[in-house]
Amino acid sequence: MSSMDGIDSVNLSVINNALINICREMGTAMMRTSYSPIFNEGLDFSCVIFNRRGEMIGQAEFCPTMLGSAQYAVSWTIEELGLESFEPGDVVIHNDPYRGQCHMPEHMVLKPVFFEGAIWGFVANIAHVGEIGGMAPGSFAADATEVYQEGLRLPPVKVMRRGEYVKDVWKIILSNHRTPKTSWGDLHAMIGSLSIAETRLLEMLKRYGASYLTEASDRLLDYSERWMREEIREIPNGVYRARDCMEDDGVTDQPVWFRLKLVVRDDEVIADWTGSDPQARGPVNATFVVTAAASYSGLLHLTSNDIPRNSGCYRPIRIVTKPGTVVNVRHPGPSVGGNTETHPHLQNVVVAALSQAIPERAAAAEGASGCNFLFAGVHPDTGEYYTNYHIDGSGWGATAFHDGDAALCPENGNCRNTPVEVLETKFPWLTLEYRLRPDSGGPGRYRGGLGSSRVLRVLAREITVSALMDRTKTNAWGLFGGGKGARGGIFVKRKGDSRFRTFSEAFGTVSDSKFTRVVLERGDEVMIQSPGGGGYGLPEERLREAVDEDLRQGWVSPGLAHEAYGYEP
Amino acid sequence: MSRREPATLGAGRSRTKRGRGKGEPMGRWEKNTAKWYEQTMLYCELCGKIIPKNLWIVDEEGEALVFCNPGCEQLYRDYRVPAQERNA
Repeated sequence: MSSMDGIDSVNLSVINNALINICREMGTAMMRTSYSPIFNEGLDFSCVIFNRRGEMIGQAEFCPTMLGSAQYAVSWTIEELGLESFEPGDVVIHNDPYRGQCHMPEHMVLKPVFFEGAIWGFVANIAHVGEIGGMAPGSFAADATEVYQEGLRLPPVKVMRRGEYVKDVWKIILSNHRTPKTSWGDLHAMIGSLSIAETRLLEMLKRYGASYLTEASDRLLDYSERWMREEIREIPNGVYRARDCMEDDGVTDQPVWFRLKLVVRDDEVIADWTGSDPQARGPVNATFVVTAAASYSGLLHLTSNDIPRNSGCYRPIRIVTKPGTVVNVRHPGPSVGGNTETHPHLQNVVVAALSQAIPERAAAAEGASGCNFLFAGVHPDTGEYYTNYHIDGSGWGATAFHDGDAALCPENGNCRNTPVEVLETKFPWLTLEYRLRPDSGGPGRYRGGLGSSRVLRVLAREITVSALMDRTKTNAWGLFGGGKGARGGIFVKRKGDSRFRTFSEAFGTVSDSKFTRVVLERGDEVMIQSPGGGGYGLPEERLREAVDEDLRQGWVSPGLAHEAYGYEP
Repeated sequence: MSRREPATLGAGRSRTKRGRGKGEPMGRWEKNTAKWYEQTMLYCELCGKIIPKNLWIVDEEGEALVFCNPGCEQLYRDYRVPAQERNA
């Protein structure tokens, strides 16, 4: 079937779904073959398909931050290396935040797909590699002041050439990671997913022909663009402003503000972030692509779920930033927290701005913290050195039609929590508590999602921990009379102590929520409390049956039920 | 130096059919001639993205403005410049 005549809406839909399914199959392979819990439990990766121009034509339900930024990393790679440099069997790796990547841990592997002697497109997998060296085990240095402290920075270089290992590059990578065996396994899981995608894409190319598939995917891009433009046309023209801050940057105890002026004009949106603060000393800076991805993600939350997710739907969304600000970090500024913490804040700001125009589609603010908790040490059972990147979910914001979800990874990550059993099996922690936090969701006609509380006890001689959280001094805001979500926090109880304290109190860290390389000893305990989401609408408008259910489940205490909702038993 | 349109598309490729005389692109494509070992970073005047190789250059009152694509030049003219004029 090589004629263009057969391209109709049915065929386009079939091809679109086939591309999505390839990405899903890549994800399943990645989940089943990777070594790290952040992949096989957390699913902190994204699988995508591109045309030869570097436009994303296929993706699935992965991490919005990676999906929104992937087109920049791929198009950068093609532009820097040149199409002519690729050969069949090549795989390029790339994690440079100053070359279109989100932040240092996010590694992209990219493989060209050749058909009938020419490159037809590319398949890629972007994944958060849990340990890449740098000043902090787990490579999430909350007090880094430059990118060189955040791990090994790789420009686009080949790790496979014509199907053979480029051993020099592998040696450099593995020599700079603290847990090379894990990196070896995880990188092979990523590369293996590319082989699956290549096989499936070649099957499609054989079935449809290259020119047909090119034309069909081009039409899908245009279709998505048209649909997004129509969605934007439904938003009243105007200038909408919103702002939020990171409560500190891990190095100085000062808030860092990002300010959005969002212009809706006919069928396009301009997300102008130029009023944001100068870049921070600490690693809460976002790269340009993170800010772009957050802007896209905010819009995608407010428009139809059925728009095919590809580069076409991003075209009407224009990003304006100023280099050297917290939303577009200049070299050599650090940025590891920009992707996980700043991104959801930025996305929340986009939604807050548009809540003024389309309140019925908006959500209150979410907890917006990945509650990033890193730890490393020598496992007493195996004698092997380990590191792990752990995330906890927070409460999501309520909407005009339902309560916020509880204890979910922020919307930018779309990752899963790691089960207690997996955590305890692989690492020397004992979980004393893992539960939802009552009263942490902002009251409202629809209640904000609850945060969680997790208490871990050290079972090894020592474990080195780092953390990067936010919303421990600020709250997720409510909308239209809804209340704020509860603040989160991370606390420590040294062995023999009677109470939990902040890490600043116990260890003198600059920030309560962002610190690096604190050594805990056997018997010490850590409590991670994730923030709750904001409520939507006036609490007194909440249905009595809903408050009954909150009480029955223990999500709201009798005291708050009375105080916030006027509830009488 | 190359005047061809690059194979890759940057963010914000403009496809708007909005006719704005003031916003018509006036630039030309050039290659960033930095050597491979030079770690230079050129930022788009409008969106702020670092540009890999293909530069959209606009000569304006004796100054060369660098954009990542004609779409950004267009937005510079019909969004940024009017805003600057209003604020002047």
